[in-house]
Formats: sequence, C-alpha cells, structure tokens
Amino acid sequence: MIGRTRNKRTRVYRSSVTNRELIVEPAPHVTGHATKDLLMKYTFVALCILAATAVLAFGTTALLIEIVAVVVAVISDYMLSLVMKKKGPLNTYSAAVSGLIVALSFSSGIPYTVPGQQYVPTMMNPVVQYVAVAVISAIAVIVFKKIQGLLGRKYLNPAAAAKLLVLVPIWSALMPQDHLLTAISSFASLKGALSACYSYNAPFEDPLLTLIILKNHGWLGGASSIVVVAVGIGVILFSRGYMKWRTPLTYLATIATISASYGLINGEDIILRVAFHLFVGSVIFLAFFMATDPATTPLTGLGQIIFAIGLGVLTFVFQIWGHFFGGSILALVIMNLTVPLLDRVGIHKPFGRR
Amino acid sequence: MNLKLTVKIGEKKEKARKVSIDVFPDPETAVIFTLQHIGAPNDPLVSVGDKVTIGQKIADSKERISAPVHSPISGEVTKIGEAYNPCSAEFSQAIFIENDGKKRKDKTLQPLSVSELKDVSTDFLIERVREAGIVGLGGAGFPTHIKLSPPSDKPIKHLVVNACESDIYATCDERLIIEKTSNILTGVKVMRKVLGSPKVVIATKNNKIEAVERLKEVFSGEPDTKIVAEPFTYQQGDENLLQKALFGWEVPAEKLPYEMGVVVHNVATVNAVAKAVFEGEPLISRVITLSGDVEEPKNLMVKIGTSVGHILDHYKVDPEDTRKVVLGGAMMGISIPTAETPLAKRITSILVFSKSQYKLVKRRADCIRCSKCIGACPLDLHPISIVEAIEKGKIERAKGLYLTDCFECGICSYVCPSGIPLADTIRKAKRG
Repeated sequence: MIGRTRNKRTRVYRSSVTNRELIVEPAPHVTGHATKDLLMKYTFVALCILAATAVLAFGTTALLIEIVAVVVAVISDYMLSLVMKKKGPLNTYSAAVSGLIVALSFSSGIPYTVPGQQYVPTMMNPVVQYVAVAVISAIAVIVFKKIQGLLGRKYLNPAAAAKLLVLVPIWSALMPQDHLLTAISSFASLKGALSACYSYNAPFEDPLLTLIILKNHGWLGGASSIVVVAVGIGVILFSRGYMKWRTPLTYLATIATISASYGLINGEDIILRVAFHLFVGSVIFLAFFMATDPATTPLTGLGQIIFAIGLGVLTFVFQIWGHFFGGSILALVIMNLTVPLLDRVGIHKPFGRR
Repeated sequence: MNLKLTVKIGEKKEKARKVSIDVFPDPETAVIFTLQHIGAPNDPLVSVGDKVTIGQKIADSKERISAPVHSPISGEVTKIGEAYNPCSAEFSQAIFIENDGKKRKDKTLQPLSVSELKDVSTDFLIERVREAGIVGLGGAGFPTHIKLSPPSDKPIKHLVVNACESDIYATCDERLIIEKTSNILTGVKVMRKVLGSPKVVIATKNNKIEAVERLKEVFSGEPDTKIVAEPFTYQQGDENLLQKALFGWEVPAEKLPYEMGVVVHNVATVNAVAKAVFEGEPLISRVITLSGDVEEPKNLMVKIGTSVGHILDHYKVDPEDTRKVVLGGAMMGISIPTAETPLAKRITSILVFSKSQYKLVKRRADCIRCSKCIGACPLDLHPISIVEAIEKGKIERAKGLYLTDCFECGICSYVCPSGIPLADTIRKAKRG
C-alpha cells in the first residue's frame, strides 16, 4: 500500500491485492449543493429583477449605468486574477453582483421643486455619472473586495465604501446646497412637501403611492419599493438560512418605529413619515441587499439584531440631520466596523447547557 | 414532538430499502480486531496455530467497560498482527483466522427459550450480553451491558429503541425490522426485564412504511409500548437529540441519558441481544448495507472480520471505477485507504463512490460568513467561530466555545458554501 499526497486533504492509495486505488477524504462524504458561486448566481438573478424595475422607472440611463457597473466590475476581477495568480481566482459572479449593487445603489439625483422656484434639475451630468459609476465599481472590486479580502476578512461593504470614497469629496459640488429635507421643512405639511418634491414626472399623484409603487428619484435599486420587498422576502425564503434575514427585518422595524415616533412628536401624517423614511430610496434596497452582505455583517443572531438597530438609528440620524443624501451607506460603513465586536456577542449556550 | 428541521438531507434509500437481506458466504480469512468498542482494549486469548470454533471468545479484558470479541468462523489462528481499523481510522491489533470450512460451533452460550426468560436473573442476562460481546451497533460501539446496568439510584423510566436509521443510504436496520421483527420483540423483552420494566418507545421514521407496519403488528399486545413514527431528521438519529424530539428535554452536556431515566439502544443492538440470549450466538455477524454508486444496492448479513474488498469483488464492483470506499455512513464514516480493511462490529454500511459519478462540488474558499453553519448545528454550536479559533491556535478559546460538545455529525461541513472542512477540523482538534 503506497500513499501519495494529492493535496492537503486527500490522499491516494493503491492497494496491492485488490488493485483498487482509493482516495481518503474526511467525512462528510456527501455535501449540500449550495456553493458560494451558486449563492452569487441567485443573488444576481434577484438583483436583475430590481435592475429591470429601475429601467422601467428611469429609462435607458439606468440600463447604461447598470451595464457600465457590471462590465467594469467583471473586467476588474478578470484583470486582478491575471495579476494575482495565486491569491486571485476568478470570481465572476461575485464581481458581477458587486457591480450591480454599485449600480443599484447609485442615485442620479433628485428632481425636486421648491416653493417659488421652478423645478431644479439636480440630476448629474450624464457623462459624469457614467464615469462616477465606473470608478466606484472598479474601486469596489479592486480595493474593497480583493485587497480587503487579502487581509483575511472583509470589514467594509465594498459598494458602500467605494461610493463613500468616491462621492463624498465631490458631493457638495454635485448636490444642491440646500438639503432636500431643508426644503421639505419649508412646507406646511409633509404631504405638501413630498408632493412638490416627488411629483415631477411621477406616475402617481399621491406621494404615498409614488414612494411605495414606482418613483423616479433616488437609488436605482429602490425604484419600486414594493418590488424590492417582494424580491427581498423571496430571496430570504428561497435561501433557506443562507441569508441573514434578521438584519433587514430588524432594520426596517427600527426605522419604522423611530420615524413613527418622530412623526408623532411633530404631529405629522405618521404613515407618510414612515413611508418616506422606509421607501425614499436607499433604505429599502440597502436593507435587503447590502445590510445582508454575509462577509461584512455579524455571525450571531443577536449580533445581527444589534447591528440592524444601530444601522437603523444611524440612518435616521443621518437622514434628518445629516447634510448629504443617502446617509444609510455611511451608517452601513460605520456599523460594518463594529462587526468584529458584534461577532463575540450572542454566542448562545449549546444543547444541554441551557 | 419537537422536530427542528434545520437541514434536509436526501436519504438515497429508495432502491436499497426494497432489497431483502442476503446471507453473505463465510470468508476464507477473517480478521478480527481485538478492540471494536469504546473502552479498555482487549488482550488476545488465543495464539498462532490455535484451532478456534464459531463463536469462540478470542479476546477479552478484565476492565468493566469492555466487550470481548469472538471468532466468526471455525479454523486456525494464522497471525496476530495489525490491520486498518475502520473504527479508529488507524492500524490496530487484529487476529487473523483461516477458515477450515468445518463450521464447528462453540457451545459456551446456551440458548434460552422465551418462556425461560422469567426464570433467569437480571445478572445472568447482563453477563450474557457482555459475554456475547455486544456493543452499540448504530455506530457508537459503547458496550451494551454497561448501558443495561445503570446505577441503582437512577431508575430507568424509558427504554428507547432507536430505529430511525438516519444515515444516508443505510437500510440495514429497516430490513432487520421487517425480517426479524420477532427478534426485536424478544430483545426488547430481555432489556425490559434487565432495566426493571420501563416504558418502551420505538422511534422510527414514518417513511419506513413496511417496517412501521410490522412493528405495530408484532408489538400490538405489548404493555407500555409506543411506536413513534415521525419524520425524524438526520441529526435526530443521535440519542440526545432523539430524546429532545420524543420527550422535549435536553440531556445535560457531559451527562449520559440514564441521568434522565432513559436508555437508548439501537434496533440492531436489540436484535443482537435477542440472538445472544435465545440463540446462544455471540456478536459475530451483523447486517450491513452495500450502497452508494453501486448499481444494485444490497443488505447483507455478513460475518464480522470479512474484508471489504472481498464483498466488493463478490458483487463485481468495478475496481477501476471506484474512487472511494466509505465505511459507516456518508456523513460520519471513514473513507478507507485499502480495500483489505475488515469489517468491525460498529460498521453499518459500505458505501462505494465511483469515479464516473464524482464531481467536484466545492473547492475550499474563504469563509463568506453566511452563518449557515451556526443555524444548521443541531447542538447550537458556532462551528465557524470554533474553527477560526482552532486555526489561529487558540485552543482554549475553542474550548470556551464548547468544542468538546460537538458530536461530529458533519452538518456544518455539509452546508458550508465555501467547502470549509469544519467538522473535520473540529474532529481533529477534539482528538488533540
């Protein structure tokens, strides 16, 4: 019987008598069908549904943004695999997912009107926005996916971190000086404000319907909140425990609770206030598709819940008092940094010790 | 009924469960390991050149937690050497016996008739079980007589017969129930007498339709006997998780089931007890399943000590197309390095994995921290956290995460999308 080593885990033996060459591998000898690649494939398909709704709401601009982001991400991944031969196997689906998330978390701006003024087009210059998306996508894959991966573990959500890195310095140049919410506060009622801000070219008169069904502002991925929720819940059910379902549910519940209290204190239309914070664009997409990124969120159930509550509180704070739009990604990156600590929280007692 | 379904695993039993038990011919050479149980090692009682008979005790120990081994054939001891032991996955002492084909039988254990059962003492029965070398046949290999003699201050209220047979592919217990139901009945009678008439729960999976019918038929007139047929999962084949499902309690960690007033025996063990008491036959043969990527799966009554290669050759399993041979279950079993490996008492099945049907499903990759292993662990351990601690060399931290509680069911490795050998890493760390 001669043993030779094939790799660390398997050894091949040739038996001298029965002439059977047998491989020795550790148990279990059967395995589930779920692989990293398969999970990424399913995520990509789910994201494609959201990408399609974005095209419906925003037109071909959205389609181009999505294509640019995905193509740049996949090419970056391919180039990296050439450069870093040993540490960089091809992760096409993973890169494609990152690229699509970059596209879907991209916002072309907000078409809004302020009293006494005309509609102010704050949409970005088309060329600038394609370049911005391409840069974010490349940085997300190269810096925040690959190079972070080399550290042994990813800490920051690639799409969120790349977007912050690229857009924050130029934000003030791209975005109007007076904040959207400043504009909202100048209205007598929230409903009036939202109608004024979001009625431009909107398919619905009622701002509540706009927020829930289809809107043409904010993140591409949040174009239709109802579709995001449906696809998100579908993914949770379909993934059978491979998706961290506690995070989106807790996150949305936290924001709903805080915004309802805020609405109550200010004597506003509570439903509209809650709908505004949940569905305005970034939150609903981030809840299901960025805050659930496995690598950058806590392992334990309790950790995930604490993470989501922190994320909800920070998001709300940034939305109300922050001075740029889409504070949820800043909240996400901040909470990402707490994950190594949260991984140590909520390690429950096992069977027979409770 | 607490049926926490964390992971569903395909059973792959459809074909094999319809195949009735074949008696496999006696081998030319039987290789009997002196250690086939959990506990103290045995010393050989024979030496090279000795003539032995069927059922003759050939190795034993004076320690309490031990079980003797017997010759399954009549013949001559040709060698006392080493062979690859599938119980411990290493070479260990074995007695090689050449078959003389005379089928002479040892008469030490006198068979009892069922009516004589009420006249014999409990000690006689426990001694009989020990002398017959009976160990847990579900795979654990713990000496049965120890489980049948719990401390006197812990009265046994429930005798659980574990007939779930949760291993993938394995159908030997199911066929045993169908074909030897009367043995199960008499075996349970012996155990009830020894344990002071506890209530009997026979737990089996509801998809073993014929087996459940046979059990209900044969046990219909028995007092305090309940047949529970539920969709038990793979993990619930474990005696502690099965108790949780049946009674709702959790056996405290590092404690044995008798603390809860429960004894759990595998159904094949019950059969072996019946054979020892009423047929006078020690544990020299058992039913195994030959399955996996073979065309015709088999259930075989085979002598312990028969070489795996001999069985594979007998059923013409193509050696060129054999990639790996696994003994003792697809989730927890050991893949053997050589087909000459002899069978031991604890081996429930021989699984052949062919080259032609092999495909690489997972390659080891970095953990994506999906936390699926945490959700899947039937004991609610944190496999990935434990493995990370082990790989960083922080064994104390791993122990703080209850490393030693793991019973190595393999579910964490099964579900891991990154192909991390979680169960194997934990298994090795536990062995130290």
